[in-house]
Amino acid sequence: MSKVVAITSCSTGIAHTYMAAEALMQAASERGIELRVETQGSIGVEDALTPSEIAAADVVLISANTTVNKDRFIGKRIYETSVDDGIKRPAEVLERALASSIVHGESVPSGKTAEDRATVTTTTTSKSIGGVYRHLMTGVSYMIPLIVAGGICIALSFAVGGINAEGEFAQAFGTIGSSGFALMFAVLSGYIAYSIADRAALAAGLIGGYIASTTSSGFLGALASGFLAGYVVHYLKKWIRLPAKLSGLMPVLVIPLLSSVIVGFLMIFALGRPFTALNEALTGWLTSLSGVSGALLGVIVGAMLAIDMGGPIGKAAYFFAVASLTNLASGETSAVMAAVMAAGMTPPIGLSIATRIAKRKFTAEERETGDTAWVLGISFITEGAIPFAAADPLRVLPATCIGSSITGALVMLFNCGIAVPHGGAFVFFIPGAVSNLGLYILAIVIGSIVTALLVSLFKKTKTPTEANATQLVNS
Amino acid sequence: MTIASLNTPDLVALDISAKTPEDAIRIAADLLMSAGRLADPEVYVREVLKRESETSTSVGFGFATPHARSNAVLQPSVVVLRSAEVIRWHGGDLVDMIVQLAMPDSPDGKEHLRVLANLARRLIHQEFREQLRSATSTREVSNLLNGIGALQ
Repeated sequence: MSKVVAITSCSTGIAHTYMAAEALMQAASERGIELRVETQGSIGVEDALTPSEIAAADVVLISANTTVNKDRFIGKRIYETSVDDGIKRPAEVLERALASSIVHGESVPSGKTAEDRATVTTTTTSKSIGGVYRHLMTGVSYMIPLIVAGGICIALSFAVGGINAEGEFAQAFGTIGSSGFALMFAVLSGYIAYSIADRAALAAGLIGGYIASTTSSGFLGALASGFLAGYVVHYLKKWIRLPAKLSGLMPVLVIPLLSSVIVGFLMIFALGRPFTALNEALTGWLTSLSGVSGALLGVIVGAMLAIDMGGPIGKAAYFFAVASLTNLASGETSAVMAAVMAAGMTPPIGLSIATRIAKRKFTAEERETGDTAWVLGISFITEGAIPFAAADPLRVLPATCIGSSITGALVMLFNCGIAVPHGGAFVFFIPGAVSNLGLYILAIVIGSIVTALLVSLFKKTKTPTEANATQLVNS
Repeated sequence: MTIASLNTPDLVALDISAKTPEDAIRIAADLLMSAGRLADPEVYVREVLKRESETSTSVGFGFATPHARSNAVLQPSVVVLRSAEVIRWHGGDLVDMIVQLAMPDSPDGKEHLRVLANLARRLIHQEFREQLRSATSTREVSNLLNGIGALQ
């Protein structure tokens, strides 16, 4: 039988502390879990956990929105969530607690029992797929506000200042938006790392993610950097043993510095360079493709746009298309540019539709993100699809690639073209900017619908636990 | 000490018309004021809303438990409101039952706190919630609450 010890606590301490305790007890008895709850409310500490109960427990569960002293739990597996989750989702909270792989404390101080040491070694090896998913979702959920705020500000800069974002206000919106985008990979990577190895991993994660965005390795680079930083810190904590006098330096100096340098070097030399080289190689390859049929070129650039959502592959296609604009005479339009822009618009629009038609395949937070993703899509901000792609790349990316390829090919077949390098649907209103506008819109609509249908087909239905996963992570 | 002194039928209102959490919290404050249990309804409402802003007090199942410890409270009290229409609570949950708790900042002794804790625990049990929700009179609700002290 699983044994769990828990602490519940809330800020005023007159109601929620006890509701959470009762709800957890009820859920535990239904599931045959042995649970002891200590309440820290306005009455004071009641039913205090004894050292032997703590030692015997598989995991410590803290359901609180106050700061709970955790000194008693060093070396124990621990799961922390809000007091609200304890009340509203007690069964899931218990499940997640039992699956937790987080061990409290930087290290096991000498003088702890052998039993405690045993707990540390057995639990740190039990990283599960569920854990990986949880870290990913933590990163994604912290990144979403930046994508939404940044993306909408960029769209506003076009809406206010036209296609070239002219004027002070438009430029201000543009600066706000691009700052949000500059930060989003850092935050994605930073919070993946934070989820894996706690605060000490945040520095390496943020720095690695920021390098990913400056070396244009894009969101795939940021995912890599987040996991890298998290696990580097995780193992540094395990391997480095300083004399007790110096152990205070571990979380503030030794670990952040060492892990930042390790992750930074890897991102620059091992990941950054190949990504940059990849970008250059693809640009060269695309130039050599100028002889192939229009539709095939449309398929290729379409897939490139969707595969990494603004990463090195998508950027290569984008700049290849932008180069095609430079030779245009007045009044001419570029078909490749049109294909690239359309293919970059379909992923967020398609995913936005998918969250509507296949609700059960998305988490609650993803559905909310879906409500804003279409705005980013029609503004040619492909990044709007990143939260979905980052959360489930193997199912989402194939769908977006196929959808975008179809859009790219259709744009070429329909003989559409545009004369400007960005702006999304905002350029539709500029006379002469788009040729065959009606068919162009049709191509985008078809690709978006195909994306939505494929995403709905590929993705698995969420269990109730998964559907609320990000809410648990967020609290 | 039982919960009898925490609640009386005049602290219960059934089928109130409230559109927002603030409406409901104000109705509760009015009941407390008329019962002579509040010194200053404005201060109390502000404290309750401050607690709401920290995290929503919706606890699921259509129940919310707005509460505060405040100098404005003269006597520990429990107000029960049943709303005619569902209210979209802070955080988005739909709520039709409001169990509002009022505690003085420094209550005499811990007995009241313990009774409130027991009430909070009881709310987790579906049977108790159903009894509260299906009550036909303020007296019936009050009796249900008064039963709690004796149960423990």
